[in-house]
Amino acid sequence: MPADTGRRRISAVPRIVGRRLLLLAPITLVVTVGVFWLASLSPLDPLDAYMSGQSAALTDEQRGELRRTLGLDRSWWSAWWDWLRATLGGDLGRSMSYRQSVSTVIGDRLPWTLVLSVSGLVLALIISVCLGLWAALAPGSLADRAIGVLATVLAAVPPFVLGMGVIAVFALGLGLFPTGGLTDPGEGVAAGSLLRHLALPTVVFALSQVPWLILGLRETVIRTLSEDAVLFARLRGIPRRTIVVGHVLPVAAPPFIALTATRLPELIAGSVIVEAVFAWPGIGAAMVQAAQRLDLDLLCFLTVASTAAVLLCTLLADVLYVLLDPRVDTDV
Amino acid sequence: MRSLAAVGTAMALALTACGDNPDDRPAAGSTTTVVVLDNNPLGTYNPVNNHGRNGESRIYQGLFRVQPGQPDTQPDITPLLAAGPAVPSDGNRTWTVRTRTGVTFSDGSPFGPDDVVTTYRALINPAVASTELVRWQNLHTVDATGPDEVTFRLKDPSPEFDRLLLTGIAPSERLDAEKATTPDAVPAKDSSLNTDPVGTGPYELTDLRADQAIFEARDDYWGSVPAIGKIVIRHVEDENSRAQQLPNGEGDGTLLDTRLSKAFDNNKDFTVSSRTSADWHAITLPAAHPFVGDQTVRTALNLAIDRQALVDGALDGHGTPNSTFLAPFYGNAYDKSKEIPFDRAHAEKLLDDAGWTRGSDGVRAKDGRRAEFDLIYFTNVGETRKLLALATTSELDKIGVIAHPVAKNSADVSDEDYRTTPLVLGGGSQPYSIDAQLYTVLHSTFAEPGVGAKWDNASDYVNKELDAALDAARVEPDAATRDALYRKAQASYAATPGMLQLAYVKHVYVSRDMGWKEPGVALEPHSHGVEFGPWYTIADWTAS
Repeated sequence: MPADTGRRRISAVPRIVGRRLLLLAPITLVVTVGVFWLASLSPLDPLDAYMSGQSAALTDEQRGELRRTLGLDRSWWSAWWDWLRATLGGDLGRSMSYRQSVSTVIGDRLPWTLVLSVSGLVLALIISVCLGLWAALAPGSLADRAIGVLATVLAAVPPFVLGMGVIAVFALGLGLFPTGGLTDPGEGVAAGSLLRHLALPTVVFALSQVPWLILGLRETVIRTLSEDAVLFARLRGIPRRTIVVGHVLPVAAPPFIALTATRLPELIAGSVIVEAVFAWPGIGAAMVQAAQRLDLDLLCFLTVASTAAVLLCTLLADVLYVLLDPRVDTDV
Repeated sequence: MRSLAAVGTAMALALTACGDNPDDRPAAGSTTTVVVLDNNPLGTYNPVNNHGRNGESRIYQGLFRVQPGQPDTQPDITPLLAAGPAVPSDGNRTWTVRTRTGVTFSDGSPFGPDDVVTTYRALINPAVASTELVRWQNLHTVDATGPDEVTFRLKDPSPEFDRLLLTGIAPSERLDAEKATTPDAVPAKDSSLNTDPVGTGPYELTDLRADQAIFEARDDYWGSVPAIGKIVIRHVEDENSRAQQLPNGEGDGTLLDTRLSKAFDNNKDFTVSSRTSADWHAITLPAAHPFVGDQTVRTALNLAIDRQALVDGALDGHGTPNSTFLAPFYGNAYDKSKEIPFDRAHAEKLLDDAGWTRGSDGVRAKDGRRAEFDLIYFTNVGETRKLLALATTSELDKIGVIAHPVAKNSADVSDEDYRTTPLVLGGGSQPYSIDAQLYTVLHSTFAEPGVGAKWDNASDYVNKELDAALDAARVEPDAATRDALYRKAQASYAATPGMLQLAYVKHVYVSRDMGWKEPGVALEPHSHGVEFGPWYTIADWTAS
């Protein structure tokens, strides 16, 4: 591609980013309004959830006082306004179900979810690039068919079954790894022990993500291989390795990377089951509990964080697309 | 590849940020550490909310404690932070307790009556929003009436009020004593005690993570220092994961359902213990239901169930058949001869006579209505309810009554569901007085809509004779007369039962044999964690 086009494309990036970030704030705001409004429509009574179902045993006067104490006597929009002001002031509020500040609940758990999903994603990318390329470069071969079957089987096996199986073989059977937790019992967090405990959940997490990565990469590589440019390159006698590395991969990579980036937020949500099986103290259980107990402060933070994560990852995908693929119009 | 590099860097940063204190590790294989796997989340250690409500906390102590070693009877309540038994006066409306001297909290501050007063005032102050508020509805005031004396004044007489004084006591300064009775009090959910508890008990919390809490024995404990120096509680929500962690050496004990505990029956490293609890499991027969709400049908269903077979089959023997809620551990208040017998022929005759006759498909019907109902069981509180629901379904099938089991999360079951649909219910979380155990379950006050918790008298069952006996027993000062009243209540219930009470289930714990002996087994309340079981007495374990 001509040099000035490349520069023009790069200079377009801040414009795209700026425009999207301008949109980010109003969208997030609308989502928070939605959370408070939907929660007010829920048939679940947050007071009853807090009192573990006993709220009806209180007198009306006590119920009124409890609602006042817990901030449940406000209309949903004034609750939203109070929440917004506090959040903008840096106070994320208190989690009613964990009985801790939201920042503590998140701070104790989010890093572990990030560690697990990042390590899982890295492993998933390594596996799927290797297998996806292998399958794509010899379509219809035994290897291709075997990889296709493997991907289908992995897509069909629920992560908790896979987790239990991996535990049965590698932890209980061979005794190579612990079955769960962050560290050995009673131990402080240390790198060596953390890596041992991280191994199995990472593998299960990665295996649960590889099917769509493998199949996606295989598809794009095969499509690129059949393009005219590649055909001509082959006719000119350019070595296959050079074609693949120099011509096919640069074209096939952008959609693959973009696909991965758009799915990043889903990866974090997808860790819920793996976390449960391996007793990994991540954000998954907190998400479920926040929703079930109508723990609004926690629920709202998690929703805002997920919204922002989705928007930012989509943005990341688009920017990568623009930078890597000259065919994409920058005026998006 | 740039994104990959960024990801790698982020991960490396996360690892280094978290791995900064490798020196805190305990000595490997220390014989005084016990690791317990808990299904409940960690970090809610506030006695003003429900932590240690029955005196099971390792951090806090109550005025009285349930005596271990008496699992098959109403256990004695022995003084702990009290210096002697509670003394009633004014027709059991006033109770005076002398407090123990020479006791210190883990922060070094001395224990005194002010701490008791502040804790109980916080419990009953709606501004504190304690989840225990309902339990203390009868408590009017609490005051320090001497240098080592506390006086409780009640709204209504309660002859067994002392049996409720098990709640852990927190230091008054941590409850903000001046504000504890005012609308400005700190809500229990926001109290620093939740994650930074301070009690008079033998252990203190020394480390808390989302997945692990470490309790260490206090050097300055006022009683005898425990032999077990350290308790590690690991939060493992998934039951299968807990069952897998034990044999792999990652835990020394946990609570399991009967099905998973079977794997440990022949494991010589572990002991499976099945403990008597006051945890009743029954099926509600709501008055609003056109079939099961009918009193004749209720009686017939009670006769049709072989409870012994149910316990042997569904619970693998980990339970005691029961039909009237009163049980052998209530001593003379229980009359074995009043248990509803298993008499399928009689059940069938009752249904025939009431017009519920078998059709060509063997299912009973009356006026075009089939004898069938949905039966809800909760999926989120262990396997027991499902097993009981399925077993009852097949028992009822034998008399031509069809139950359709429906799985639901307890959080999704509405008041309306409770009012109209039979469900498998468990209860008995305050079993140390019969009144606390039975009154809300059976009294017709709670049949009124909007009165009591949604599961209180969930059948909306009305039996005035039973009401009268429960009301009289509630205030009766003489123990023998009280027992006679409860026997009367039991007889009245058995004649016209309002629920399908099935059994008192036993709680099954699996624990590693580490050469420790517990002083005795305690009668357990309805509970879902590892606060009871062998670990209720962990501070008093001795080398065997």
